[in-house]
Amino acid sequence: MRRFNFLNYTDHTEEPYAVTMLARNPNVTMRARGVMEKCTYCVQRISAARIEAKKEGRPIKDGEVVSACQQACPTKSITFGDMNDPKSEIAKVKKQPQNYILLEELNTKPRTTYLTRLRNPNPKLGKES
Amino acid sequence: MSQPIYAIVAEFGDPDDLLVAAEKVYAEGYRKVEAYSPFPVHGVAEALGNDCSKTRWTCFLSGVAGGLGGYQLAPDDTRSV
Amino acid sequence: MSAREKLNDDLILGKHTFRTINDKVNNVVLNQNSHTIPWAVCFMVGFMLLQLMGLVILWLLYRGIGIWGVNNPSMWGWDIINFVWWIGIGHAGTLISAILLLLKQSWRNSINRFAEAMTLFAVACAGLFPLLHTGRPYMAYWMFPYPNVLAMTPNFRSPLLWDVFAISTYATVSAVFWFLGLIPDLASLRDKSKNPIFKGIFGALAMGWRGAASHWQRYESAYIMLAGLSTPLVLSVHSIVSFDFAVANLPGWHVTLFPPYFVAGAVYAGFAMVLTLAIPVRAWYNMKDFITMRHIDWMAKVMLATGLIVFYGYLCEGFFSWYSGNVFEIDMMRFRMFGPYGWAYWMLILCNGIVPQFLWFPKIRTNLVALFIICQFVSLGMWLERFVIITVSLTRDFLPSSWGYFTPTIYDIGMFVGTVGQFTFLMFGFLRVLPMINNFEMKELLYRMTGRGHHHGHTAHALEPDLAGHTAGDGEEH
Ligand code: SF4
Repeated sequence: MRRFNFLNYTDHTEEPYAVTMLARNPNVTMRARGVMEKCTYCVQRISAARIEAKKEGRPIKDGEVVSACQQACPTKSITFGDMNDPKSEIAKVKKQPQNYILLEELNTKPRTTYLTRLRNPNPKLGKES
Repeated sequence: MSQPIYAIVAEFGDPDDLLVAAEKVYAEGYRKVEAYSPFPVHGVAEALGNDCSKTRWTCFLSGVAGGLGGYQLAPDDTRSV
Repeated sequence: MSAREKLNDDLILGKHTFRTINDKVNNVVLNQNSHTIPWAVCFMVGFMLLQLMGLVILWLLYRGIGIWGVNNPSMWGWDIINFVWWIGIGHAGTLISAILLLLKQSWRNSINRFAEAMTLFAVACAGLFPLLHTGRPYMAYWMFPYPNVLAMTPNFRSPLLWDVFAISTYATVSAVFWFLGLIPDLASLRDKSKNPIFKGIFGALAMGWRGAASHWQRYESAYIMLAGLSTPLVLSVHSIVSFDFAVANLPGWHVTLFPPYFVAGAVYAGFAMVLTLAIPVRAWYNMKDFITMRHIDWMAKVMLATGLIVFYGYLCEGFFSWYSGNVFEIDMMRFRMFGPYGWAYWMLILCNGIVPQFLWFPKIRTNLVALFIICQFVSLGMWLERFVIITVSLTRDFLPSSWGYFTPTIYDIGMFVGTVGQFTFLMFGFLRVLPMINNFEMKELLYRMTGRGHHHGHTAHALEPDLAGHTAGDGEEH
């Protein structure tokens, strides 16, 4: 979901600017009005990991990049990783049969996909939680 | 002493007369001739031996230049990554 | 000498010679007393609304576009509606000047000048909206591909970028075309003007035009080539504007029908605006001899024809959304007809589908009051068409979680009436300082109508002003 900054929601002239910045997100600049807000897949964390990996002369390890939402999620419902690496955690999750793409028929090929809730449609086998 | 004649001007009351005169003047062998009219009278310029090949060439070459310039705007994907 | 075609006698009415045409057209500019109260009222009202728009824009630049009614599902509101509406209005000018020129339609001669001016002013109004809607208009130059240290190039796959190029090309070509057509008339004003300052200004603008045969020859070949360039523009500009929607994936937008239906709608709205201006202006400036009932009748017919194409488009949209069997498309149509904006849809059908059917009757086409009222319906209808397309699709997305509602604010209204004011202001300013009718083309038309090679009832020796001149065919108004 995208959000557009129709107004200047974070006033850059407001004091103390640094405190507001820390409260929102210390890693990225705060966007002024006229800029689209959208999930960036935590590009700043990916860059940080890529720089670290480059310094050590190795590819980025699976699970090295943890997105902020993934880190914050108490039930660990979010997995983040390299879809091109067949051995990665994310590739395994995406192979599961309950993996689905929202509005797949539109063919927009989103990289964010979801896992359906496991349901029990047969009441004789027990109550659905 | 008679003054040398530099140019002759004639006025015509009708566009069709102008056209006839232009054809005649050209046939007589005059080349430095020009006809003035408040609106385009088709055929006069041709009768005086003008063609507008210059306009056409200018337009064509500008078009080619513009087209090539336009291609320069297209992003080069191999460069940017 | 090419044979002169047989022309309709009603294109110029009254007894006219080359001199009377010249005087009549130039008089509006040279004799400032020819502007009366209606001119002053229109100009002043336009100017006031323009000031209002200035205030709205000032506040908008200070606060951001959040002062409009735009919100998160409905990221485009009145701004894009007004943009498409204004761009559409411009199309009649280009159609008249380019396509009708290539088709050798002589009835374009008296209306092309101000229809082209209308195009330019409408594009000027239209251009404001996307510029301000970027949110940071001072960064608008980022939309052009220029080498920069940000290593940033615009996304050429985005229809919104195609828009930038389509509109800027359109504005440029229209302006050049208009100016080129003005040059011989500016020279005529230079020669007739008594005031040395005006003489100087007109003279500079006429760029040394002398009316020589070689000038005319180059002029005409350049004019034809520009017409050839503008002709695809008539079709391409609004096609590209329609791609803003058609290329998106949203139900109600993702329709292959959009380009032709938008182009027809543009010509439809454009002719409505030409008539809206022509009907009062020809009365105020007594131009009834040049913009005759024949012109008005034909413009009304063009409106009827394009209106039918547009209405066919609505029927197609309805039919195909049902025929697709696609739940999103069917629901979209349901929301359009019976959803929260249903009133707009039915108003649209009334304005664009039903009211123009009156144009089938010749009595109505020649009744100026009725025609003027129909034109207002058409303008409103074309605005509502964009409203229905844009607002309903944006607020009734695929997922009910992203549904919303759009309500305009006073700033939306201020912007819209402001551009109407700007348009009126520019248009009436133009009427005062430049010849509203193509002077030399009218003289040429008279020459073709009265030529000695082809007698059809005219007794004219047009260059001699004291002779009888062109005797008119019977016009409806005499
Ligand atoms: S925290 Fe999650 S949602 Fe937000 S930018 Fe990072 S990946 Fe996207």
